[in-house]
Amino acid sequence: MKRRAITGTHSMHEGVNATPLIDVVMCLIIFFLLVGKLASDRGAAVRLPDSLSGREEQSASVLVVTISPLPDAPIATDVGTPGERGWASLGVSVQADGQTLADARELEATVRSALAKDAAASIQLRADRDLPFGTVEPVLRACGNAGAKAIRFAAEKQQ
Amino acid sequence: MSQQRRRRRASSLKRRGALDMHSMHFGPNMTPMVDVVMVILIFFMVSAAFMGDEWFLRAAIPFESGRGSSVLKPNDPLEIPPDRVEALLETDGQGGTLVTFLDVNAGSIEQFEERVRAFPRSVETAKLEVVIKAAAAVPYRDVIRAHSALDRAGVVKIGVSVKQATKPGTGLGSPALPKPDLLP
Repeated sequence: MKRRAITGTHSMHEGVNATPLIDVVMCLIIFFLLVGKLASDRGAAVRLPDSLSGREEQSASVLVVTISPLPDAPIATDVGTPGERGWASLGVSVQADGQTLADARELEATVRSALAKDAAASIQLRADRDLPFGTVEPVLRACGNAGAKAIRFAAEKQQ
Repeated sequence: MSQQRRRRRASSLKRRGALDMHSMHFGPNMTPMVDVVMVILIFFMVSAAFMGDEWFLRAAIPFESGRGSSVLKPNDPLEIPPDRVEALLETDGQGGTLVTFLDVNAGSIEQFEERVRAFPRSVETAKLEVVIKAAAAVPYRDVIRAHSALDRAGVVKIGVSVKQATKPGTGLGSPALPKPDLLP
């Protein structure tokens, strides 16, 4: 009798039970937010070089430039590389705030627009530790040509 | 029968009591709110743990010659900065890096670190400008290592030198390549 009474109350509550549904959907939303945030912030996954010293980022507006080696392309350095062939000719992929850029001109335009929005914007460079400097140099040059006064090299904290 | 009826009445009374209790419990339902706040808290903790494991080394971008904006103004031939030193980084051909800096002549990067550590932490060190000139084949890791060593020694003004491209606007390009369309 008692059991029947309980099922009676339960059937009075019509429709699906929304509470666990909302709970699970909420968890999924937060999971995807987290993954999306990590993916957009860090660009491609790079192994940063170690550093015993450094400073925290203080600037409010940040442009993250990522240099990572392409998986199936030989790394070439800047010496003797003809222009306008893009980053792929160096064997690297360059991203600015998660967007892959084709060549130095695009990077220059991106940096210039970031600096036009905020002159004090900080440009963070996240380059893979195993890359030769010859692949980093054209990126620095493009940033310098776009009017960047300084650059911040991201490094892993080494204890 | 009467007993069963009494029981039924009791259960219905009990049910009515529970419903009354439910309607008495007014105000927002705390349980899902606490649940959501908990998840948000964990989200921020995790994101803080992901973001907090790195820091940044600041460097100016001086151009080796020609135009370009830089903090160190290297393109003015009349201005000779007195406290400007270059650190040349080259490869030894076997994956190692050789550094030429002050009295260290083509020494290892460990020697360079030791030499820089010998700097007195003073006003003079803060005024010193060091430009890192790295060859194309030097690993980026060693450039950062040299930068980090200088930073630890108290050198504030550090630049990473960049070769000038032939044509403005194209970052890629070597100065040796002839560009016939440079002249208007």
